[in-house]
Amino acid sequence: MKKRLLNVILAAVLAFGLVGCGSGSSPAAAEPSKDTAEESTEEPSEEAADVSTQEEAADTDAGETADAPKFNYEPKKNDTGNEFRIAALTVQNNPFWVDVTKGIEAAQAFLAGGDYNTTVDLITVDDFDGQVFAETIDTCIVKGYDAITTVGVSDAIVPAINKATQAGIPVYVFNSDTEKESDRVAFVGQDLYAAGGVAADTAAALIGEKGKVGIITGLYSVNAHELRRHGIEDTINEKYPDIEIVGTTENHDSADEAYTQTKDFITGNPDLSAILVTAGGPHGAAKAIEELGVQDQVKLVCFDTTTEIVSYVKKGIINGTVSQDPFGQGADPIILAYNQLVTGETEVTGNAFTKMDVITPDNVNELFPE
Amino acid sequence: MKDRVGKLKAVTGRTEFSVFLGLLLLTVAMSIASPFFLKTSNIFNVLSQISRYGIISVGMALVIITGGIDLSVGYVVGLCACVAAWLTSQAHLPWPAVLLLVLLLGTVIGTVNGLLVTKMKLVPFIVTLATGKILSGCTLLLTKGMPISFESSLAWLGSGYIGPIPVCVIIMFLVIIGGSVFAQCTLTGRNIYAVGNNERTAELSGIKVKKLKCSVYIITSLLSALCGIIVAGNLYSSDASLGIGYETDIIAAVVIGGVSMSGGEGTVWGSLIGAAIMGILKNAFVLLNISSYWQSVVIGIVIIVAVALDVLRVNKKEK
Repeated sequence: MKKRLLNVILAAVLAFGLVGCGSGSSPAAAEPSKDTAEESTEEPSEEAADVSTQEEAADTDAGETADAPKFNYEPKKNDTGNEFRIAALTVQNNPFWVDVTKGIEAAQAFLAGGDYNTTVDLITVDDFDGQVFAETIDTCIVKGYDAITTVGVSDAIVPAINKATQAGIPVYVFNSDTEKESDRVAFVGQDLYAAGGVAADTAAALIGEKGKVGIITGLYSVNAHELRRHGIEDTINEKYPDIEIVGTTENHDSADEAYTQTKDFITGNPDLSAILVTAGGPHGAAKAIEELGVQDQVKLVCFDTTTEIVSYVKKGIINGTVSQDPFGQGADPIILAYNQLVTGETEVTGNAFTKMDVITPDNVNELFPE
Repeated sequence: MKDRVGKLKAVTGRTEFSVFLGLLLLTVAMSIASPFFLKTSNIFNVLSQISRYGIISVGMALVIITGGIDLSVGYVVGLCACVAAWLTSQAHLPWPAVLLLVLLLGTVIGTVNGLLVTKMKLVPFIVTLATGKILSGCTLLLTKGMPISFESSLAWLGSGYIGPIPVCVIIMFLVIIGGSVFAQCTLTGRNIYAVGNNERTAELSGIKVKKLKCSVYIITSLLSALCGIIVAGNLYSSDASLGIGYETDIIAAVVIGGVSMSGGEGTVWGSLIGAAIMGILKNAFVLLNISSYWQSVVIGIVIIVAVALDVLRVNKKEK
């Protein structure tokens, strides 16, 4: 009898674990953040298994960002007399998203000011799972947000976006767009294919437009990685006839795999001139180049500006990295949605591509001071 | 004379032998195809890549021999790598304490897997799939998706060299030798085969089946924890992506190495050969500048061929 009870408890614990970590078996619900605490109508979350709300924005960022925000779009003064609520959906599974979150929090802190009278709720979904995002958007519709900004994780969210739009809630998509067309107002993010071209041009300039290069890509199955990879390959094939792509490998965003593959590339091609990494894990490639002591011969170009990448740029081992303005990706859609709520007009439609800076050992200290 | 022929047949008839021939063939072909393949630096690069899978495959082989499976290994690697980095950089513990705690964590995870499989009689496939999910969530909770950089003497296990030989390669060989001796030469080891062949008979003959099955999961998680430290040490940095996908490569290595998925058959050192074949294939595609699209295709074919050989052999034996 006792044993049976124990079995039941163990099974319950296991099942709970599965639900908690699984892919969206419970509808997502957003907790009210500190700013909305006075609204007694807010219902507390019962099903926050997949979603959590960050609440620290007001006290951490207000001091530095509220006075001098560097937004790409200027927030209009709220003269409507209405209070607005915007839901910002994001993920938090790698360092890139920390910078996106900083953008969201800056917009959150800024718009909380009296002239703007808008509450932004940051809703973190724990996985790139289209189903969970769709359910979270549905919940936001029910909770009556005035606007929604979300990562365009996959086509699974298209129906939810369209439903929100029909309900009169404008949706802005950022970072990556859905492949299938949705009724979203605009997409804010990197022009991934063009970014591949920028990376290729950067690498070509570093190696005198001739030599052998290897490409390490994240996953063949991720559209964003493929767009960058094709951008790189097409640019090299069209513009630089003297550059030969000796191979492409898939590192599954893992630094450890990038490390091994870089060593393989250099072993197989002792005259290799450059390596381009399209997605996660370039610091593994940098570690391999550093360990082999070939940084003068093998140039490394990658994307994004995580702490690891920046520190290798400072060491001169990563020679160029194409940034995609993660701060802007977090902040811009919120500002754009807010302006639309205030003015009733859309400022941008279609694609609002974020700026692409190439960070090099020459400008890294200026852009990323210690 | 007859006896000798019989012995020779016993050796050549084993799956490991045909797989070993395959490895030899692959090595010869590669050394002809690429002048860089037999360079010392490349050999150690391949070996250190194999070591990640090789170490864990020892435990996985034992688990599969008992008729089970462990799908949580990759996530144990990820969690232990991140815990090691966290304990070093955030809790500022000295390296022996970190090593001990991480190995203890591995043991605890293995015990949970083992108890769920033996005491509650849950299917290992589901149990370890679920614990893997839980561990992956825990890793994200711990790291919040950020890599954790650290400086520690412990990293020597992953990035150190003794002479020209990477430390992780030495660890791999020690683990493989230890595992082989354990499986072939100790009573407990032989009992593992008995359990895999026929659990009921094993139980009736007085073998403590539950304890034995539980212990193979503990060994596997412990080795995964060790591997986590090695992977983290190699880059002086851990993040939640480490270890993802290991389980499929490790199971493939074990199966290519001649361990039967239905349990009771195979050897620990066979998995090393399996891991080596996969490692060389991955290396070969880059060295020979062949599109990596082909890599998955070829590895898939190799697995099917290995399993088919195994089935053919078993059928022949039954006749």
